[in-house]
Formats: sequence, structure tokens, C-alpha cells
Amino acid sequence: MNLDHLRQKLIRSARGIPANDAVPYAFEKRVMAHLKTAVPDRWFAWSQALWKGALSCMGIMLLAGVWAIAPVSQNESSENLAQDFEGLLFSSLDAGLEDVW
Amino acid sequence: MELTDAELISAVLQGDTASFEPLVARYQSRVFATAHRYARRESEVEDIVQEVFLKAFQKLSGFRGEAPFEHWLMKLAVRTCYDFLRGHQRNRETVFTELSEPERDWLDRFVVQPEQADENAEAARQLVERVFENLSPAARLIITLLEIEDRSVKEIAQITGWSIPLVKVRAFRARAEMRKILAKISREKYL
Repeated sequence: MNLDHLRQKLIRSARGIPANDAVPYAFEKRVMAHLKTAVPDRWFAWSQALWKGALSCMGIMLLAGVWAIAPVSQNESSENLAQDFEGLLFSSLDAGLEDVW
Repeated sequence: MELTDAELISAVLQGDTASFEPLVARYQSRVFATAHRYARRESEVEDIVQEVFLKAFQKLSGFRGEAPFEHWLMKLAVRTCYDFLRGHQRNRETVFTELSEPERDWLDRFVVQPEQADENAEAARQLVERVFENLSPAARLIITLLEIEDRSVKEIAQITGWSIPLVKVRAFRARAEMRKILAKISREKYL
């Protein structure tokens, strides 16, 4: 079978298919309805941004409140951490010194 | 009096969204004709056309008016169809046994007497649709633009944004791909 000939024949067949340009009834109204939902309302966008800002401010306020209420326990834990770190660091030195002496 | 494209576009850009409706009404049949070449189901065609107009609205500020609005819109339509093809790419191969009875008969007739097989027959059209559905998105796009819509390589390069050598290479590959699909379809029975 001559595949090139078949290909050309099928292409000619495809060329003969009339372009289907039928448009559904009131399609432009459908597009416009989608556009209206897609175009954001400026006041809505502004109010959304304000709400987002207010929520993040409340979050920061809560974190700051927790930090202000429990400063002592935070210091204690940081002190313990410093002591632990120091102990760990010097433990190897201490062991080394013992071997030397 | 009917407003020109430029007047309507200018009104839309100044915030009058309603002025976009006459533009949609004016060009929707052309966009539908283009979308029908790449999608079969009516719901898919409608989705493509809708997406074309939504994109056109969103990108309207980028239209510089150097070429007619129709050209700009059709370029957008072809690119949207290409995106559709890439998004709906099917990894399936048609074999001879999947062909319908009229399609097989048409192929039989072609094998016996190639000149007698009527290219305007419904079976030939069904067969070509089937072959096109098996092509890769780039191959289908290039064959449609180059061989069915009879566009020049330069025009295709402008529409797709590909370079001229790339269009030529893809056209060569697309023809080879089509031949390969036809060989696969017919191998079972004739080769």
C-alpha cells in the first residue's frame, strides 16, 4: 500500500470537510457572564485585603501577649540551654585533660 | 451606527466591560470554526472558545493595534487550541480492528483501486479524524495549519511563536508521524 498516497488522499478528504462555525444561541451572553464573575469588584478586593491585614495583626498581638506573659520561663529555658551547651562543650575537654594528667 | 473594533477596544480598556460583547458576537463564529478543527465534543469546543475570549479580555491591554484585531484573536485561538491538545493528549494507538465497517471498506477500496476510493466519502472523513486524534499535539497543529488551512510556513511561525526552521522540522516530523500511524492501522491486514 502506498502510504504517501493514502496520506495525501486523507488530507484532501480533511480539506473537504466544511468548517463548522455554528455558534450556540446567546453564546456571547455566556462569555459576558463569565467575564463579570472574573472581573473582581474593587471594593470587595479592598475589604478582603483589610480582613487579611486584621487577621495577621491579631495573630501578632496574640504571640506578643504570650511572649509578654511568660518571660521568666523563656529565660529559664534559655539559661538551661546555655548551661547544657557549655557542659557538652567542655566535657570533651575535661576528658582530654584527665588523659593528659 | 456600528462601532469599529478599535473604538470598542478603546471603550473596554477605559473600563466599559459591556463593549466587549459586540466583539465576541462579531468574531465568535470564526473562533468556533478554528476550535472545531481541534476538538470533537461540543462541550470541549465551547470551553475552548470561552477561554479564548476570556484570555482576549484579560490581555486586551497588550493588543497594540499594529495588526487587525481578528489576527491577534485568531493567534490567541490557535494557541489556546494547542494548549487544549497538550492537556488532552491521549497515549493510544488505533489498530485496524478498531476501525468501523465503512472505514475498513474504504481502506479496502483504496488498496484495490486507489483512484476509485472517494475522498469525500464519510468513511474517509471518519478515518482522517481518527488519524488526527492519534497525532501528537504539535503534529496535529502543524498539519492542520499547513495542509488543511493552507497557511505558509511564515504565517505558522507568527501564529505559533516558533521559528521558521522549527516549523519546517516539525512539519517534516508531522508527516512522518502521520505515515507511521497509517502504517500501524493498515499493517494488520495489508502488510
